[in-house]
Amino acid sequence: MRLLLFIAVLMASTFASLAGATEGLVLLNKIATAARALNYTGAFVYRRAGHEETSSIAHALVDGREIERIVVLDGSPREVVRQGQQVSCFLPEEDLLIIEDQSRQQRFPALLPAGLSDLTRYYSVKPGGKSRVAGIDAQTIILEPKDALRYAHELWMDPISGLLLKSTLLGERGQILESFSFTQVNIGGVVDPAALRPHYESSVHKVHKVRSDEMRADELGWNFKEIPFGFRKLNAMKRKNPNQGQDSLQVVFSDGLAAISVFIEPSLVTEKEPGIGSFGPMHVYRRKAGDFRLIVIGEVPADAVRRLGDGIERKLR
Amino acid sequence: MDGELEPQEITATLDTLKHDPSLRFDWATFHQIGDLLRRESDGSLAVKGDFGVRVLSALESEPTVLAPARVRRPDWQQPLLALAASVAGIAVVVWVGFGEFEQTSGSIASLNAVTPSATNVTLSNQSGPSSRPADARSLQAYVLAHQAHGSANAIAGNTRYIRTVLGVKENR
Repeated sequence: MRLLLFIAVLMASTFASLAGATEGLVLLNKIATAARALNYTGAFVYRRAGHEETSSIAHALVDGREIERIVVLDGSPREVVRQGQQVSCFLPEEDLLIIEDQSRQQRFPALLPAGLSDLTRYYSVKPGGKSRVAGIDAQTIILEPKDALRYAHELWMDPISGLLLKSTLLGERGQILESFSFTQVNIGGVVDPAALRPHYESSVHKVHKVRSDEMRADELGWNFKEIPFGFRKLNAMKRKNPNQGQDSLQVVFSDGLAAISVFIEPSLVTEKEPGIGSFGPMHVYRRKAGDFRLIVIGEVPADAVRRLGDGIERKLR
Repeated sequence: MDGELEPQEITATLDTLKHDPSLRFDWATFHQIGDLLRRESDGSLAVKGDFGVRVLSALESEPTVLAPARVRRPDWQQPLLALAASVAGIAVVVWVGFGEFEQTSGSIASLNAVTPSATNVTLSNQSGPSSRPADARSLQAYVLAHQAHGSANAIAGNTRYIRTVLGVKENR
């Protein structure tokens, strides 16, 4: 009898945690959809160690195309504008405009439902309590990694619209690596087109534009022998920069939440030892492979970028 | 860096470092002196203030960095690694803080290659076939490309693009 009771309790708790995971996934799905489809404007604070900045954001779905503009309100007015598949980033102090043009690619399907349910293999997903963010009683969701190849995330969503109001990325020791948090937000309605329009265009002198074209897997010419557990190859692109003769490659991997990009480009110089560095919560690993330079970037622990980077080999033809 | 700090002192020390630009300057200077003595650097790192966030370029000349040994580290090394990791993070700030010193450019080829038309940029003093493709692109360009393509991941939200333009504000 006691055994039965024990089993019943055990099963109940298993179901409870499964139900929690499922509920968490439903919420994540809602966030993913809302991020693309919602019109909203607001201000958010970005924090990471020793650094804090407030920015304004406007986002709208116009004729099925996502338009978005972020302007940093502190310091110099840096600006990021996304118009469909083209993202540009203006750095006024360097008088530099960086444009990333992906318009010749098919829209990569955002998190497929299948990809999302895989998430529970690498993270334990559970809804947390309610907490107030930007005047909204937000629903929290906690994603704890199941290994050391990814970071923990805590998310706060508007339970009605699904808009992500706050997110934090937590390191191995639970320290906050970075956080985004809305301080004020208007959700829905029509967004003033002026808020979405880039403000820099006429003033920029230096433009660094890269166009990327999707590649077929068999065109790639590189093997990835050590893909960190849970990461899948999302897509591979050939990157063309009109200012530079040689094309480079970008291959993106993701576990459904974190992403790692690998850049492969011709390099004539003698490289030093492989090196690893960080940029906010992102780790950057660089090494040489034959006549090529490999650069691996991702918002993942150093070990993940290093593993991926060390396992890259040129295919023998 | 030499493992002389107790674990509990590390956090406090790092906090002080983060909040005191002059200490960071000293820190960077000491390290540069060390690098020069060990002939690991051509001394150009410190003067590349403009490199602030161009971590890659800096990685070129001096990985700030953990030598990536692929061995499992014993537990006692963990605080050291944490320190090194934090330092790598700080280092970005340190480089940004060198804005005023940028005129003695060593290999500030990055802007040249991006903008062949720009005339007011110091030319690279490197010889031979050293027009480095990667130097031509600041880390921001890579981060932007990463963010843009990582956008397959909608959960991260649209605010993530802010990462691209970070850390380049107050240092001129």
